[in-house]
Amino acid sequence: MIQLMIALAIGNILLAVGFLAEAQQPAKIIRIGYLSAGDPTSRGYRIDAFRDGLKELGYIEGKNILIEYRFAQTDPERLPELARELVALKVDVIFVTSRPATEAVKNATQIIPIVTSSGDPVASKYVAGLAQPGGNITGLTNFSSELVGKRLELLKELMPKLTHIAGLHTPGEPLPDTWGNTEAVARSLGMRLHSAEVRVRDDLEPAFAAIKKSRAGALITLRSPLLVKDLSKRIIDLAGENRLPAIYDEERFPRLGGLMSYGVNLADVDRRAATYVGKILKGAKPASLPVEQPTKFDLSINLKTAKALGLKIPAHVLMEATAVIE
Amino acid sequence: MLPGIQNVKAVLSTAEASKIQNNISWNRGRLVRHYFLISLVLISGGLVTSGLSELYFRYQESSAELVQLQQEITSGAAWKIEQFVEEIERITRGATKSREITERGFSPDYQFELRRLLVIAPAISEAVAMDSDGTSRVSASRFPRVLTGAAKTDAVMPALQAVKNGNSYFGSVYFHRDSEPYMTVAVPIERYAGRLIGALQVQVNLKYVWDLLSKLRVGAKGYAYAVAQNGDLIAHPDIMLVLQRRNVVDLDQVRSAFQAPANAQRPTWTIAKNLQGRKVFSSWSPLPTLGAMVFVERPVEEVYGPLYASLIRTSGLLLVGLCMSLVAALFVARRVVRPLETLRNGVERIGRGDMNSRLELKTGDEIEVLAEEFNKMAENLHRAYDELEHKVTERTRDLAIANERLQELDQLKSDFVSNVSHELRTPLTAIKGAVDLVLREVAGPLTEKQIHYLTRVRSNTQHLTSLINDVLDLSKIESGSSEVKFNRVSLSSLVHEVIETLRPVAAEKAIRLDPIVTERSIFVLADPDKINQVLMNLIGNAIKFTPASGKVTVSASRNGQKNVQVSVSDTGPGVLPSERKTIFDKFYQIADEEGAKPKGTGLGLAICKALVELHGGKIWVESEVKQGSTFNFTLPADIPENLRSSSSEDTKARTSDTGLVT
Repeated sequence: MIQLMIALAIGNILLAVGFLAEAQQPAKIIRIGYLSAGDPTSRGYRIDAFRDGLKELGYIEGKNILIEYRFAQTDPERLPELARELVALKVDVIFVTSRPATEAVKNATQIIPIVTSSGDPVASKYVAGLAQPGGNITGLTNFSSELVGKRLELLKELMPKLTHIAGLHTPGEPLPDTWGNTEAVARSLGMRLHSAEVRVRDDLEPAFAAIKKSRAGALITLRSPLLVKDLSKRIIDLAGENRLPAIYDEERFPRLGGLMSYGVNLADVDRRAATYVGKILKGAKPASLPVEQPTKFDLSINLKTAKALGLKIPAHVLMEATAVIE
Repeated sequence: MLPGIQNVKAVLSTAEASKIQNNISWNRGRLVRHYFLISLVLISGGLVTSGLSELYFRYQESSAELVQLQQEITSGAAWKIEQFVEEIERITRGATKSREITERGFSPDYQFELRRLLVIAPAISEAVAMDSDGTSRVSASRFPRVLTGAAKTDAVMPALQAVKNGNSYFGSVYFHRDSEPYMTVAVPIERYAGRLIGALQVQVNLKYVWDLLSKLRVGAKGYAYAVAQNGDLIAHPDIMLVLQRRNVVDLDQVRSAFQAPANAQRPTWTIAKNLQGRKVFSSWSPLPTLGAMVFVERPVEEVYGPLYASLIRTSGLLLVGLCMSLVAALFVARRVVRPLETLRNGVERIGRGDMNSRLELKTGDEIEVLAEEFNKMAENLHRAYDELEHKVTERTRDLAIANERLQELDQLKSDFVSNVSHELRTPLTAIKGAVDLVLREVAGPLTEKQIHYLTRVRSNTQHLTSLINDVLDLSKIESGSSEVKFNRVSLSSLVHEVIETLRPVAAEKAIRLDPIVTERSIFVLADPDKINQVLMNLIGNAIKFTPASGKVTVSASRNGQKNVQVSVSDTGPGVLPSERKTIFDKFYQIADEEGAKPKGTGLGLAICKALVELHGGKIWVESEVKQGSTFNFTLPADIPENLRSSSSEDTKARTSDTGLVT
C-alpha cells in the first residue's frame, strides 16, 4: 500500500514538472535574417515589398516573426562579417538581395537556408540548376545582366545614329562576364562600348570626365551595389549635367530624373521571394525549391528628361512603356 | 380434499414442476419471439425496403451528378486553356494584318506591330517575323538574346511547313532553361489570302496557364493541373512542381488519361492517388492544341463528403425508424402474448388443484370468450370434484366403521375359539384320563364288551382332541398370530424324519413308503416344525387313502432357481376333478372307496395350505381317478425378500412342539 502511494506521488510530481516545463517553454519566434549590401533608406520600398509578401502569408513582423536586418551601407568589405553575425544568431532563413551579399552568406553557412533575389543564380553557381537548386540556396532570378542587351537595343532605337556608348560599371559586377557580354551585344548593334570604371565612391567624377572625353552619345549603368544604391542620385545628376541619355535597370531611376529603365520589378521579385521564405519556414528544403524566373518586365521613360535632352521617343518604344513620367 | 390425494399431487408437483416450468417458459419465449418477429418483419420490412432503395438511388444519382459536375469543371478548365492558346493565335494572326507588310516584304516599322503584340499579350515573350525560307526579318523580345536561338533550332522548320498550308502551328511544350514551360505558336503571314510571305512565330510562356488554373476554384480543396504528353507538368497550382520539371507519368490517372484512345467511350475520371499520396477524385479533358491533358482533382472525402453525410443522415433516420418499429413490434407481441400468458397461468393454477382460481381477461376478443368458457369449465369441474370428494369421504367413513366391527367380530371369534377349545380340552383330558384308568382295570377287571366300548370312547375322545387342536391351529394361522421361524433346513432329513415316524402306520397296511429325494443337499428356508406338520398331514393322508399293498412316494426336487417342490404321491382312489379345488377347504372330506367318510377332522389340507402359503409357497393336487393322487407344494429355496427381516435373529430357535405361538 505504502509503495503504491509513493509510486503515485512520484508520478504526480513528474507530471507537474512536465507541465511546468511545457508552460515555461516560450512560443517559438521565427527569425529571418535580411542581409543587404546597401543602406536602409534607398532600399525602403524593397523591404516593404518583402514584408508585404510575408504578411500575405501570415507572417507579421514583431508578432510571429523577427527580421534581423544587416546593411553593409555599400561597403562590401563588411558583408562577410554581417553574414557571420546572422549565422551566429541562428536565424531560420536568410534573405539576400544582391550577389555580393549572397556570396557572403553562402560562404558563412551551408546549413541555414538562403533565399536570394539577385542576378542569375545559375551563372553565379549558387544553384545547380533552376529546376533543382540542390543546395541551401534558392530564390528568383532577376535577369538583370541578361537584360543588358535589351537596354542597349532601346538606346539604339531612341538614337539610331548612336555609335559610341559609355558603360559605367564596377569591374566584376554583377557577374564577371557581364562586361564582356555587354561589349559583344553593343558590337552586334553597331556600337562601341567605352568602359568607365567606378571601384570606389570617388571614382565617379573622374569616370564621367573620361566618358566626356570618349564622346559617347549615351550611358548604360551595370548593376553593382555601389552604383545602383549609393551613387544612383549622383549618377543621374551627372548624366543630366553631361547631357547623356542613360538607361538603368530599375524604375526608380527615371523617377529620380533618369531617362529610362528596363528590367524586372525588383519590389515584385522581393515580394515573391517572401513566398520562398514562407515555404522554407513550413519545412520545404531549398534544394528542391526551383528558382523562379520573372515574366514581367517594366520599361519606364521620363519624358521630361527626354525633352530636356532633346530626344523624341519613337511611338513603338513609348507603346511598350509600362510607366511614363511626365 | 383427502390427505392421500393431496400427497400424491404434492409429490407430482415437486418432481416435475421445474421441468414443466422450463418447458412452459421456453414455449412462452418462443411465442413472444414469434409474434415479435412477425411484427418486426411486417413493420420494418417496408421501412427497410424503402429506406435502402432511397439510399441506393440517391447514391447512384448523386454519384452520377458529382461525376458530371466535375467533368463539366474539367471541360471548362480545358476550354479556358484552349481559349488562352487560341487567343494568342488570334492576336498573333491579327498582328499579321498590317500595312507594313508589302509585296517586297516587311517594312522596318513592322517592329511596331510586334511590340504591340508583346504589350497586348503578356504571355508572349518573343515574336519573330520571318521570310518563307525562315530568315528572321523583324523581331521583338522581352529578353533579346535568350530565346531566339533556341526557337530557331527546334521550331522553325515544322512551323514553316505548317503555315505553308495556311494553318497555324502549335509546337509541343518545351522548357526554357530547363525550368519554365513554353510553347511555340506560328501563324502564316499573307499579303492576301493565298499569297504567303512568311511566318510570324511567337514564344508563349505557359506560366500564364498557371494563372488560369490557380484561379480555378474546385470545391474547398480541389485543384487543376495540366500535363504534357510525356508526363511533364505544364501547370499546377504549386508552381514549384512545374519549375522542378516534375514528371507525373507514374500517376494512375495520367496514365489512364493518355492511354485512352481518342474515340473510345471510356470514362474520363478515376479515383487515384495524387502526388501527395492522397486519394482524389480525378477527371480529365484533352487540350488538343497543346497535345496535353488537363486534370481536375478533389479529395475523395470532399467529393463524397456531402453525399456520405446525406447517406448517414438517411441511415440514421432509418435506424431510428427501425428502433421505433422494434419497440412497436415488441409492444404488439406482448399485447398478444400477455392474455395467453394469463390464460396459461390460470390453467396452470387449476391444474395444480386451485379450483377457486378464475381467469380475469378483458381483451374483448376470442381470448376473452375462451377465458369465460374456461371459467365455466373450471366451475363444473370444481362442483364435480366437490361431490366426488364428499362421496369418497362418506364411503371411507362407512368402510372404517365396518372394518372396526369386523375386527371386533374377528377378535370375538378368536377369543371364542380359544376359550371354547380350552374349555373343551379340559373335560376331554379328564374323560381320557378316566377312560385310561378304567381300561388299565384300576377299578377292577373289565368285560370284553366294556373294553370294546371304552376303547371306542377313548378313540373318539382322541379324535375330538385332535379336532380341537386343528381348529385352534387354523384359527391361529388365519388370525395371523402364528409365527413362522425360518431356518435353513435339509429337506431330505426332514422327509426321512416324517417317513420314519409314519413307517409303522404304513406297515400296518403293507404300504410301501419311498422317499425319492433327487439331491441330498436340498435346503429350504422354512419353519421345520410347520413343514413337518405339512408332511405329516400329506403323507398321513396318503397312507390313509391308499389301499393295502399300495405305494406312497415322497419326492423333492428344485423347481427353478428360487423354489423347491415337494410331491407326495399315492396309489389311492384319486381325486375327482370337481373336488380338486374344494379339497383344500375347511371341513371338507372325501369319501373313501367304500363311500364311508374316513376318520379325520377335515382340517388337515386347509392347515397345509395355510402353512405353505405362510412360507410364500403354493399347494395343489394332480390326480387321476382310481390311479392315485399327487400333492405338490413349493417352498422357497432362498429367503423371500419380504420375509427376510423376521428371520435371521431366530435361525437357531427350533422348537420341538408344533411351532405354534399363541
